[in-house]
Amino acid sequence: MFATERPARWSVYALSLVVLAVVWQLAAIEAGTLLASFTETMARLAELVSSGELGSALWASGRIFLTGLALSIVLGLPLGLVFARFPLVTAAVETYVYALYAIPVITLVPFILAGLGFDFRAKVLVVVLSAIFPILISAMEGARSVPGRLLDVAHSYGSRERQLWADVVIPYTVPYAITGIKQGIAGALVGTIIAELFLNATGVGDLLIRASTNYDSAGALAVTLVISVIAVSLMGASGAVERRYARWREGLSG
Amino acid sequence: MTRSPAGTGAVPTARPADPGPGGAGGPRVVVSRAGVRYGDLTVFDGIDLTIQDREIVSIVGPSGCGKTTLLRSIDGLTRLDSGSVSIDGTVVDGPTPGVSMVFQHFGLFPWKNVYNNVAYGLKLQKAPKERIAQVVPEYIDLVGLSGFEKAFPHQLSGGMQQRAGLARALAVEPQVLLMDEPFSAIDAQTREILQFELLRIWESRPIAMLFVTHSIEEAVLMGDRVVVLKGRPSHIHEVIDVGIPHPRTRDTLKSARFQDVTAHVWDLLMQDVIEAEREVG
Repeated sequence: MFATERPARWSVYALSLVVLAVVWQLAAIEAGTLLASFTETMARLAELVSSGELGSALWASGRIFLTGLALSIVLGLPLGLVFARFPLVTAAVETYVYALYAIPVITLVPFILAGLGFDFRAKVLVVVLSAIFPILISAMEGARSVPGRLLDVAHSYGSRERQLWADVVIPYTVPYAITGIKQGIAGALVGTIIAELFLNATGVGDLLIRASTNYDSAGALAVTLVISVIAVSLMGASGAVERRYARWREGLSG
Repeated sequence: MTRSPAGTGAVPTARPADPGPGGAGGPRVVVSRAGVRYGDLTVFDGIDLTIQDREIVSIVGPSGCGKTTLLRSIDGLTRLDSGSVSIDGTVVDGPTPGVSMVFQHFGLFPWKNVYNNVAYGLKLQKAPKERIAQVVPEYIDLVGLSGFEKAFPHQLSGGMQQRAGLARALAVEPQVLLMDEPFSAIDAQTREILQFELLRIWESRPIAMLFVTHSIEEAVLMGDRVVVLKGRPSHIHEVIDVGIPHPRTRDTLKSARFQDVTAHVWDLLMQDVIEAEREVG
């Protein structure tokens, strides 16, 4: 990396934001009442913040998001490792795991509604179903791809199975798991919004629904903007963690 | 011999009443009627081989002759289909403490720095912390890696990675050192430097060493005896006493004896190639 690259990147980034705001503003003038302008949206955002509406909505949604994500990590990582360790278990469940991963969670919403109702637990389940599979599958792929020569080294030095997991398999899987968690965060965000829009409306989902039923284009855009900013920050943060842990992977090519 | 060894490093463990390299020490490794099959393919069969303490035995042979498999069965990584391997009189049934292997592709853990890679074997043995803290820097110094304790494998050249691999193998203070083509993935110049450094280290603390290589020159330079594997399934075709005293140096490469032995091993291995071509022609 050259030292000049970083400031240049940031200026381009800032410029792209300015361009977005200007284009948005001009498009809103053209579209009339259907699309709130950038300045109207910002004013509405300030209202939502000062009234405390946005804060309490974010808190309600955040609880669902964090609980679902935490459960996905706590369940997904060990399950992935177990699947990798016991090939017969993998043979039995792999197809269903990939099938559930491929199905849009929204198709499962009626069943969840029927089974669990529309309380906090049902919403968390939607988030878990949206987030757990990339985490589980990445951990499984990571633990499966531990190079034989590293296992040879561990065996040669007399490592027993449990130590081998602690010393070799789990450290080797860490970068894979972090990549999976990064994808899981994106999934959990989508899951949270789906849960709040399609089960009973709460939190940010409730704000969105109310804004659109009231033809409050500025409010809907303000909330969407906030969600986008949160998503981008979370992705950025987990991307940074991912890069930090992926550094040693370079050594595997040699 | 006045040539002073390159690099730094004191000898970590002084052996009392050391008779010096090449001195008789009794059998360490006994391979008896050993055979390995992969399905219908018999890789090698009827291998009898004894490695004495303080002796280096080189194994050469064409690729696919099972050199590495033989080494792995001595390390307890590959199970024999017939015969047995004993270390100090105990039949090998899985990895044995006191036997260390240095791997062709180094086998360093990429997420551990040099220090923690070298400490790996000691930590597995649950060695006391004070002992690890004392021994690990000594071996890092012995292989010339002082100052690189905190470096990660991907930051090091192949030669330096194998130095770390050697330090890891030596840090558990083995009685038997198994070298699986340790320098074959390293460029020619570095390879030569490492060959002489390994000889220097071995001469300072001679143990039983088995050195697998596909380089005839390397086999003769390193070995007190050279075992030539040949045929399908392969067997021991000939064992050659190299008869060149330690310490061995770059001058060894120019000696008449080295040239003779190298030429002899070369002839043994090339016979096959020539015969095979005659059959085709």
